Amino acid sequence: MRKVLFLFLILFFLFCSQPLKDKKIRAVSLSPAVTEIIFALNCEDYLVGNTIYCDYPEKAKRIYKVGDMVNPSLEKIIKLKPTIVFLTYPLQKNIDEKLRSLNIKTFNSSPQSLKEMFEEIIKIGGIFNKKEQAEKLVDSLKEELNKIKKLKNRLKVYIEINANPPITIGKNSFLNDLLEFINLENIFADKNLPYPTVKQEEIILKNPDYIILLHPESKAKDIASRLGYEKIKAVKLGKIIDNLDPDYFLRNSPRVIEGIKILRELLNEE
Amino acid sequence: MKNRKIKIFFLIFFLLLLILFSLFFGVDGFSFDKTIILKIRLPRIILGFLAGGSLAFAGAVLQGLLENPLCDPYILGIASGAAFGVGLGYLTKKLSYFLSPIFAFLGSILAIFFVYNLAFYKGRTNKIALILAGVIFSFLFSSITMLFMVFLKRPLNEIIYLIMGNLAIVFNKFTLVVFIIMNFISIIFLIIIYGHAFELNCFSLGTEVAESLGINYQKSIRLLFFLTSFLVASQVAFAGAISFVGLIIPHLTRFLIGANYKNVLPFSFILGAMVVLIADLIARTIAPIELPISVITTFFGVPFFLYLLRKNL
Repeated sequence: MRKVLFLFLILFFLFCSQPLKDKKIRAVSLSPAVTEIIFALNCEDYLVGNTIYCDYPEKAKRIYKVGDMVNPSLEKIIKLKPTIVFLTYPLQKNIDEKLRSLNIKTFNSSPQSLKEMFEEIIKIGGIFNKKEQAEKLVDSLKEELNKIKKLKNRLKVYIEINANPPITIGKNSFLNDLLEFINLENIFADKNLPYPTVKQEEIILKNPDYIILLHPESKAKDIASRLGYEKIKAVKLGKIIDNLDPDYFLRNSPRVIEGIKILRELLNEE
Repeated sequence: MKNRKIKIFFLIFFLLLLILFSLFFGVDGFSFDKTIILKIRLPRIILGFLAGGSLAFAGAVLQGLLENPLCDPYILGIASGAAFGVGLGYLTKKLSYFLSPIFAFLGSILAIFFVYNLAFYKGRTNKIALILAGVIFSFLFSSITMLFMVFLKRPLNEIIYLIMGNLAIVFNKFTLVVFIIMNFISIIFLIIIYGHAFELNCFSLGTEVAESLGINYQKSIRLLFFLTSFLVASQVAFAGAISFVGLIIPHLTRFLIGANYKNVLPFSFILGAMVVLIADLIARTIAPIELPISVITTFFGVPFFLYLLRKNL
């Protein structure tokens, strides 16, 4: 009887140690987008720390916070004994260097296009030994994406992410690639900066067909009341979209696919 | 005397030329689009002209009043107060950005109120306390503003641009009306302060001398402090804290035409307005993106100032 019990205990411990082996991955995410990807891959059990900006999905809010995106606390990160820290360039370049000098492994995730985001999801899946699951996720996202119909006629669009002064998106932003995907032309695609501050004169001169507001303070009527903006085609025809959640568009996570879908539906009549 | 009149005439002529050029020159070269000229450029040029002029003017007054060559209009905590006001507005989450000049103005007034109570304690005036109180409240308001950004979990671009100076503000009819009212009051204040130029001259000889010349020191310093800080507050509310202009232009003016405040004040105004308009012209046309105006005023102002300093030493 004792032998049976002994054997049983050994087997029990062996069984238990199996998930414990995997638990050895301890990830800290300093990027809300990577946090979302980790949740989408169902790897949240390995996530031991994230930032105060990581607010999606709801569960991400309850994970230990190491600080904000610009100045996370190095002490808190080290205390978590992470095996890998996910971060994003160029914002966290100096944090990356500091962590590397402390022999902490880092992973830089800064996709500039949809294609790069898909590659990134597979790479992140690989880190958690869930490559297959990641590939499945990417396939389903691609399938969703292919269901979205492109616009027949190319439309000019002005995206505003800050009202005063007006800040928009440039060529090297993730969102620019998304717009291209449904055949929308960003009027500031000639700017190299990802998020340039633009001149109001230029907005009026470039005369967009649509204005999309990605900041919570403004409503369509605010834009229409700005001096000089009445000359813009989008304002004349009332084609101002103000009810979008910026997080769907400004974070390079699987949610952007949902974002484009919503946007495409709003442009349905075109 | 004659020389100075020629200088002033030349400056005003150049200023008018600059305003005309600014009106018709933009991102697309020379253009005559009525909407853009009247509704985008004209408010911006008026803003730059009055803000630049008033800041240089206020800087000159404060340097004389506090007998301190390092005074600039923001030393009294007005800019940080404005940023605090806007931050508070955002924290209530109801702030439309069209209201932010009003919040900025209220924040500045709060800063002025605190500084005033500290410096003019029990009927006495303490100049060092005035400067120290300004610096201390400036730090306090800045740190509270940073705290707001942490609470709101996002950097407030509007506040960042407010601290660094920004003429690209978005106007609508409401802000335009507020802008006109505030500037109307500002111009009245400018004229009243200019009426005290003789007293400022006396102050530069020392408090005792000024009092022996029959000036009520306590009364004048309070009046001038109030008028100047309201003047600065109403400019910061719209244009933000444009650096360099308020500190250096008064010195530049003294190099050029001497230290008599009757000349220094108007000359500073014209020169300040010119520097800001030139900087804004560069910001609007050459720079590929909209830069905070302080970047340009400082970048181009410093070499010129160094040249003059070298020549006069």
